[in-house]
Amino acid sequence: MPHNIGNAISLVFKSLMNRRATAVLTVASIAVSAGLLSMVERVRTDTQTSFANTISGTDLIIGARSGDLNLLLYSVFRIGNPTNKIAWDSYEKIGSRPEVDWAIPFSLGDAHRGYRVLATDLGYFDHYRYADRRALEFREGGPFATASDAVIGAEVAERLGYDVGRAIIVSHGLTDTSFLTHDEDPFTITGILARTGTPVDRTVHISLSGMDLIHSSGADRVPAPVEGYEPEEITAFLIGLKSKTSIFALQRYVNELEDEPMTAVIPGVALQQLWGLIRVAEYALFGVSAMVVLASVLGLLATLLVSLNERRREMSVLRSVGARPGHIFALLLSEAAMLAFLGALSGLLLIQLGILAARQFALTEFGIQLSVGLRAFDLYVLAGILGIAVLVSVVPAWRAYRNSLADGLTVRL
Amino acid sequence: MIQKTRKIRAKTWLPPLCALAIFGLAATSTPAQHVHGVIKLGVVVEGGTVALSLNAPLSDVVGFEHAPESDEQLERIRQAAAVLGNANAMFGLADSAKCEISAMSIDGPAYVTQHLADDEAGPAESHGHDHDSHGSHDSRAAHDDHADHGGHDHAESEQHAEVNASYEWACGNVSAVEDLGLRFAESFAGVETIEIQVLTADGAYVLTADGQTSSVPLSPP
Repeated sequence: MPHNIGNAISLVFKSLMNRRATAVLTVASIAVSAGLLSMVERVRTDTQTSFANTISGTDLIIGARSGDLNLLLYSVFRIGNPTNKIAWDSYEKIGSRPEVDWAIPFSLGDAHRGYRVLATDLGYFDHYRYADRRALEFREGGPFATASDAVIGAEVAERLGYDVGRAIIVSHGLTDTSFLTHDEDPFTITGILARTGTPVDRTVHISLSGMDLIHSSGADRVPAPVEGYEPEEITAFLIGLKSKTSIFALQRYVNELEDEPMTAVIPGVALQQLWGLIRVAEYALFGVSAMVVLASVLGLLATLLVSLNERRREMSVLRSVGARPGHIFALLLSEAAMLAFLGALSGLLLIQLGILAARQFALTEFGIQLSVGLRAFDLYVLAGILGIAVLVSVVPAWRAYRNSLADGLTVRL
Repeated sequence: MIQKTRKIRAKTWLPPLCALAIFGLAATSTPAQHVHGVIKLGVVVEGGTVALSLNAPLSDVVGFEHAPESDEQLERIRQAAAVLGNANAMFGLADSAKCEISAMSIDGPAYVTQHLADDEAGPAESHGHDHDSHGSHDSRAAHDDHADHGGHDHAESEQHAEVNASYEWACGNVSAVEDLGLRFAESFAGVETIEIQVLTADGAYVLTADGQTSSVPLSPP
């Protein structure tokens, strides 16, 4: 008679080992469902954190008139393409307003071996902030000093094996198969930025004069100095304000400026719009994975019910050595709980391994930093699956209880 | 030199996100045009300052978008000017925050702003607006007309008038500012949707309210 917990657990375990094939499969199906649910939630939160961490301290992003999200995505996340260019005059006009603390011009549109090229000025290295207002740091070297200098992100350096001093070639357009490869203008890497976990890692930075140099031809090909260089056009620019209180007024001023149609977006607000748009998809994914959990628990229920008939003799033997019907009931409940617990736990642990394996891929391909470690949500998953499993296993436990009252040692099967 | 085609990284993001961006394009109204029935509020809480900017189509405030043409319409504009000029009647901040209005500016058509300084100003001169598309000039009818096609893309938006107001409060105890009371809806002619953007030290977030909403939280949900 199982008169203590240790005995009970060992009895449940031994009974399960006797049916290890079905037990392992049940555990596996619960593990998959628990892992899926945990993964969906983790990717959702980590994506939001990664996106939110990409830009910090920038009050407004200003570019040619387009949708807010389009502007945010191409300027900061290097996703999608700019709709149009804006005149340097507009940049100067807005950048010199009294409420503006700093402005960083961006010019996009070229690539180096799949990595986008961002032409900017030296203010970028001083004012650009990511995560919790962290500034960019150089792992090696320093900012560009001439029109043919380049500063690369940490991932560009690692993936392509570049060091300071290496000459690289920038191609026009975003693929290297483009006919317009600017072979004549190699850039020299002068600096490598420390890893940020943001799209900055996947960017090749050059000066605005460098950008114009590769797009000019013939007699115009005279390298201009980096500092004080004024191109005709840029793609977008970032604004930092002296005080945030002027943000909505400046945004309206830019949006209504008659010189040139432009859009000013507040990064945090535009990101909220993005989450608002994909919320439906998130709910759908979450709903589907919750259904998978339910299905796996129903599978557990089915397995337990099927096993009852073939275990009538086992129950009778337990009864004959002194187990009361209540013990049989408890036995079935603990069996379900053990399967659910093992399943959910192994699922959550497997996901950790999965994240360890996939995090580099997620970072380089999608720019999402997945974090390892159990979270409160994982504990809810564990507790939830355990709770549902115990709840549904009342059905087989009750049947086993009834059987054990009726059956003698010689079971007629 | 033979080079492999290698598209930009993050390419797998492109189709869904571009689709989203296009939705975003459609969802975001072109800045210079206002949508009838939608009032935009921007709130910044920084340091000891609460700054608020309000952008409203004039039709939402007084019920029509042209210079007043009757005594009744003139009265509505006078009332609206009085409401706009009284920030503490439009918005509520917790008493314990000890906020005092420190700056205010109201921008709109001259026939509205002239009543701000001097409520006894004479009848506004005509601004030569073409009112044909607005149907009857009776303010009620004009408002109903707008309500019928709220959110519609107005081709004649050049002639539409709006009010832009900004207010700043200096607060002695800004940490007590947790909610923003919205009290202007009952004084305005038609408030259907209030789009609110909030920027605080904790981040940015957006929320939507309507004419029945009496207050909104100024902290992330």
